[in-house]
Amino acid sequence: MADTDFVTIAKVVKTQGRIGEVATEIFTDFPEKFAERKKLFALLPDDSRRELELEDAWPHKGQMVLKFVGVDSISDAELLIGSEIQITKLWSALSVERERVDEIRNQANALRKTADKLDSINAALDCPIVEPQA
Amino acid sequence: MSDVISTEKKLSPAFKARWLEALRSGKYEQGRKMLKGPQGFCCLGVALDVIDSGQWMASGWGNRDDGYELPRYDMSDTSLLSRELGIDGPTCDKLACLNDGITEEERVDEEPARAPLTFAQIADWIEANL
Repeated sequence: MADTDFVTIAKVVKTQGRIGEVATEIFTDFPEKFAERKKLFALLPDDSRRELELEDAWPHKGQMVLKFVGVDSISDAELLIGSEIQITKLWSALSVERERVDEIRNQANALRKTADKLDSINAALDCPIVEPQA
Repeated sequence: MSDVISTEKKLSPAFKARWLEALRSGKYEQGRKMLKGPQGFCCLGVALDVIDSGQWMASGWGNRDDGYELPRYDMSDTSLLSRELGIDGPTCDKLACLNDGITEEERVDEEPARAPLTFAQIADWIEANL
């Protein structure tokens, strides 16, 4: 894949903890979505790209701490400092679409609740629902 | 804090002396696997505590695959060790293994293969090797 096929969502700024965790500066508005992204890529300072599997992620003092499978020591983690953490554009586009779908689903649920309330009120008033005229 | 930080990217004699003193003081309970945890400190956690004593605070809990929940602490910035003190990553890993009683190959194992070094023994190792 070409460089243009990737989107940077974070940058590794330092090692964190003892077992290979790294602290990252976040460039996405949805850091909680990290938990869903198991397959990530690191664009290393030498411009090579390394595929990584996310093991764990948690917010910490305005940053996101990431733990990758196979990165199990401080020296392993040091190799990632300065790397850009990326996802593919395809995944990014799918995530945006999924967020839209979630938003529409939430709006539909809200409308359904409102309709249910109106039905309850109508039933309580014991009056027929007047259908709008065409 | 500034009196223990070396700008030459190597372990400063002033910091080394304070770290060894802390390890030999008996003040710190020794724990495994974490810089600072419910059981106590790793020798690297002692180093961070010497840098900025009293700044530890639990910042959340993490679920790990093995089912354990481990507290995470605000002073878990291990890059301080290399960035400010000149203790590089491989040396940190070596010290962590000595502390836990494991080799680097056994790093992910649950139980130590041999008796972990005590803080006093780790202090002797640091004195001789760093």
